[in-house]
Amino acid sequence: MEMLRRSDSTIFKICLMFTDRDPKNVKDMYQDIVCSLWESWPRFRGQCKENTWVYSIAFNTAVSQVRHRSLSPMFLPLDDDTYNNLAEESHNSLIERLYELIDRLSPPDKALLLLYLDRVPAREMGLALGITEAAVNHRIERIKDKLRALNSEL
Amino acid sequence: MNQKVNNTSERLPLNNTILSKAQYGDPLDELMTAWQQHSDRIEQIAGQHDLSHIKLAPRLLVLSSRRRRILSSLAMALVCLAAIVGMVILRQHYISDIFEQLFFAFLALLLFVTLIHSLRQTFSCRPSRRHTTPLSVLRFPLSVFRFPFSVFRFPFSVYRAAVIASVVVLFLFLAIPVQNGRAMSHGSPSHRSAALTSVSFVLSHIQ
Repeated sequence: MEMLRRSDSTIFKICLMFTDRDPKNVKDMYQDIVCSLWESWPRFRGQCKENTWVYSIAFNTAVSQVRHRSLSPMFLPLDDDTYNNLAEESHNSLIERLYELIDRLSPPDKALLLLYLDRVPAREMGLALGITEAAVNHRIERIKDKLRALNSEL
Repeated sequence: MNQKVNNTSERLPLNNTILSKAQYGDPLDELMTAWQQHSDRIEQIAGQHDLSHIKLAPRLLVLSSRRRRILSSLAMALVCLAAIVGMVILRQHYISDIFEQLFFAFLALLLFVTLIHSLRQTFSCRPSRRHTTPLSVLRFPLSVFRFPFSVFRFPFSVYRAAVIASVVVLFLFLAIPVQNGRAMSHGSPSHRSAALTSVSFVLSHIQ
């Protein structure tokens, strides 16, 4: 539970990035990610930072949410206020614009962008996504180019 | 470069902060600034999030899909083993007809193949090389079975269906009463053939 408390904002950011920001969908994804973290926690051996491990589990869960949902053995009764607050927070015009750009990226690019925006070091990014540090730098440059192109298109 | 900036800015609405600023700098700088504010507010919301009402299930009840597969494969192997033992006992005491011998031999072979397949499934469900177990040494001998056109390449559902069919046949053989009121296995060969004929008659009409 302490781990969950420390990682709560990270999970929320991933939920917002990988959904349409609808409170119901955010809540569903939050539930799936918490279940996955709970299942995987005994296998965490401290080979990377705790937050990096949370990122990697949460990204995998977010990408395959629908399949995991049918197998989920738990149901977590969650409060609606938090999710409504998150949805309201995302309704700012600038943030909506930001998500509009992010939504056009592929899930792996979204994952990498979130790590980049959260200022996670390249080595930790590589550990979270299972790629090398050089690949991280290369992909970030590619995402930047893609965002520049999207900016000029929209 | 100036030409490009001028052309782009003509197409964009002036009140759009990200787009208008992005023309003169890296768009990620703007993204970073906007995200930082957004991130701070998310952390504030997360700080107010009440986690006390979350009741997580006991860890033993939370089986990963890998553990579920291992358990189902082991259960299948145990069912096969029990069915084979049951068949051996039945063969010694009740079976006399050559066709019944052949039928039971076929079922036993099917169950044996399924048993081996289940064991292979169990050992192949290991997560990675880091998590080797003492039973991992069996992977090499079992890998001998990986030849082309192997029966082990059939879908697992085929084996499940075969085992269910075998167990149902065994049950029918032991439980269906024949004309003298006793179980089919206690009846004479003529009684058994009559009962099997009536079962197949009923099944053909159901189809």
